[in-house]
Amino acid sequence: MAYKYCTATNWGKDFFTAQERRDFYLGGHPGQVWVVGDNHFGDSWISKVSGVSKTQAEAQAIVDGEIEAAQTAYDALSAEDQALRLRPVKYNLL
Amino acid sequence: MADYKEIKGFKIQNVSSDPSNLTGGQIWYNSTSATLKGYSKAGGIPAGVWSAGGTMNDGRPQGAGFGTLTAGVAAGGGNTLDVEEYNGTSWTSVNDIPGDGDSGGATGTQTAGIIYGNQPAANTVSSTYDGTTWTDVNSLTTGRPGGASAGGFQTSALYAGGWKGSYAAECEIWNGTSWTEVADMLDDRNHIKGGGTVTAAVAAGGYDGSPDTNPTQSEQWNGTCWTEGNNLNNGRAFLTGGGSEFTSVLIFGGGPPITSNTEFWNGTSWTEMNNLASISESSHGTTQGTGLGTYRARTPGAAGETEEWTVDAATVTVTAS
Repeated sequence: MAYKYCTATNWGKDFFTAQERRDFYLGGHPGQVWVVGDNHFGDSWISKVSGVSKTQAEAQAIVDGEIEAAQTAYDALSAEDQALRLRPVKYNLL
Repeated sequence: MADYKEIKGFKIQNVSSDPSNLTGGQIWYNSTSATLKGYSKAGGIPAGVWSAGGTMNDGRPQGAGFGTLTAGVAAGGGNTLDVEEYNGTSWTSVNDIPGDGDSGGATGTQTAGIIYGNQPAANTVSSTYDGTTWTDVNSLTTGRPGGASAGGFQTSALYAGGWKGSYAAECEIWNGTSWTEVADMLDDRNHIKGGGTVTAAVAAGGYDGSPDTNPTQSEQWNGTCWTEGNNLNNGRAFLTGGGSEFTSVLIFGGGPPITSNTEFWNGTSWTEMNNLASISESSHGTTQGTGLGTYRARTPGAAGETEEWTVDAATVTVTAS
């Protein structure tokens, strides 16, 4: 399956609907990065949310930067607070 | 007593094959299979999907959540006193909880709820909510965050496992007045999640199962003791979710690593469902209903984004019991 990549700010209710989730693949990631199934439903959703197109490498770099910042914030927590949270780890976008 | 015709305005159809273009609540008799059938959201393994919900005013992790998808409460989280109510569209800030809340348990409805087991480990405080005001009530016997909740009512709750300074196996039941310690879980564990009633519950996942690298572990409560049940498909701790019926519990997210996985418990086994759009560790969820849920995303750097679990109606065979 092919994907498209974009950034778009989640405004809340109906940013993506149940029907849209059924119509195409959609994955949300740190930095308001979205991985979108490459079909006409996905294209319509990108238009709906005024998504800004990114290459996969550009999208990955945004996600990596957000996770690195979150790791820094986690590492600054007390041991007690660290026990309450998961340390974010980097991963590869589809 | 009203019969079906009075309620729906027509007789039950007698058809040789299941009708098309079904509507929720429709019932018919299939003469070929000689079965009474219905179309609803509550039958079998529900087909559901996550969609975007309203954005919280103050996004925060690890809070207690109770109520329903359209009448929910998110209490505490992120070591705050903050409380917000959800109406299915938007979140509204309401009266704070009495003390800092993080990683606690909860159950009940938006106008009759109860929270307990907040951080720190020795905190035994329990507080009820009437839709407006929080009131401290009798305390837990063993203070511990990170346990699994069940029960479904302000007057009937179960809280199992968690962290008491060490991994906890303790299980307590709330009868509306006081907590009573009952039989321990088989394995002490923290950051687990569960659902059901005080006489039939399930608790799954978490750290320090048996062996301690087995976060797929799932235990069942029958009102007297815990027994080993069918495992989760994806082992993890820091889960969100719940349910007030033993045969309809939904859990999602968790880690490590932080995941978008969603699983449904039908009273016998866990089934993988459609994933969240975004990964999430422990956050606010609902406790009531049949597989309905709402959650706050806990992805790195996230604000208060939420997702809602929407269940599709399905054809079910009506049985008498």
